[in-house]
Amino acid sequence: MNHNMERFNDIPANTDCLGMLSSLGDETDPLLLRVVDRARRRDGLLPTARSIESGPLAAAGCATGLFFDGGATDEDFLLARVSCEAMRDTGSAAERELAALSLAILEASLIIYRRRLVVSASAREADARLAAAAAGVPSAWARLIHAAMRMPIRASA
Amino acid sequence: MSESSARSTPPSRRDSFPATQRGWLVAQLAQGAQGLARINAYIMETYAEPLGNYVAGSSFRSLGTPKDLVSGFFASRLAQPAYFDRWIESNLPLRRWLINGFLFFLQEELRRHKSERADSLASTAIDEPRSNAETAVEEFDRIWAASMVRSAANTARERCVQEGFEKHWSMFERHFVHGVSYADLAVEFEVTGGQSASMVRTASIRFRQAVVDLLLKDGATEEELDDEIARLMRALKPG
Repeated sequence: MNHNMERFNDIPANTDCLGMLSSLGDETDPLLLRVVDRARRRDGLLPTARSIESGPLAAAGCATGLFFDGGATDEDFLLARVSCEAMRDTGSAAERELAALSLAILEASLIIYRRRLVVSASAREADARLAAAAAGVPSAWARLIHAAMRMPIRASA
Repeated sequence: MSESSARSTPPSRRDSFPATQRGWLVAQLAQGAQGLARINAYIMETYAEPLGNYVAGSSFRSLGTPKDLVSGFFASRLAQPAYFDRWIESNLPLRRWLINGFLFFLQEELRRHKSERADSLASTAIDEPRSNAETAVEEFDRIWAASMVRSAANTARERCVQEGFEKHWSMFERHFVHGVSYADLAVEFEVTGGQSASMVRTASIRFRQAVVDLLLKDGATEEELDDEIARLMRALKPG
């Protein structure tokens, strides 16, 4: 097409406009986006290490020993995941956010210790989930998530 | 084809569109001549490029340069006192109202050219431009969507720069335009993974606001924004 009417525009004409517009879609869990926004603005409460460790991850036992240190069995992962999903579906606003963060921690732990995804359907979705969660969890758990983000992953069958 | 016939909807009275519903343009109309001047300036700034690009790619391009044709269209329509009153009554998005009017104007131009050539050179054959209103509207939607996204991106980027978030905008572009993961952004920009999500989000919020502002000015209501964005994404999808 002849673009001789194109006005001067800093954004090049061949920019992937569809890709840019896709940023308006739901790239990641809206619950996590709320956490990211509070972390970004530094104007609200974020979960503490204590609340994460005593939340739905604790359904399988000691969250730190199981999911941070890698002691979890497949059954522990399953138990914690079911507990997280139940809280995400039925909890209060704060509990639902905690559940979403806990699911991201489970995802990170599974990537590190099992090299696979369970919560996310694709590597791209996992990348967005982990990055968003890392913005809102206490530093120790953020280290786990950052470690997972650097690892090669594959979606589960 | 009449100027508003491409997607006919029941006419509505102007007072059924409060300013909050039809956005900035209606509020400007209520301010008389000064408001109308602001509308005309906005229309020319925002819609000249997509209208020009549309005609440049259409069979009407033989009628003149895109710049001249768009200028002629604006001169003939924007001077009409009731032009935007009729837009409000049409209940169409502004871009659709304009492309309908532009197609009508091009047909007028075609008739004028034919008449002039018949007078001066009766035996000369004239290429007959072909246009299908529905196809033209779809094509214009695609061109307008791309122009709107770039305009919104410019606005958002300028705002990011003004607020000291230039790096955030670069990360936003790398992620959403070039497909770079947050994990790789963290390495490329020497931040943590959590910071990469947070910084991209800072820019994407500004981009969203810029898109919303343009859609509201085009006549979308708050309730229609999500549908309108989905429609634009469909328009931009290849093939």
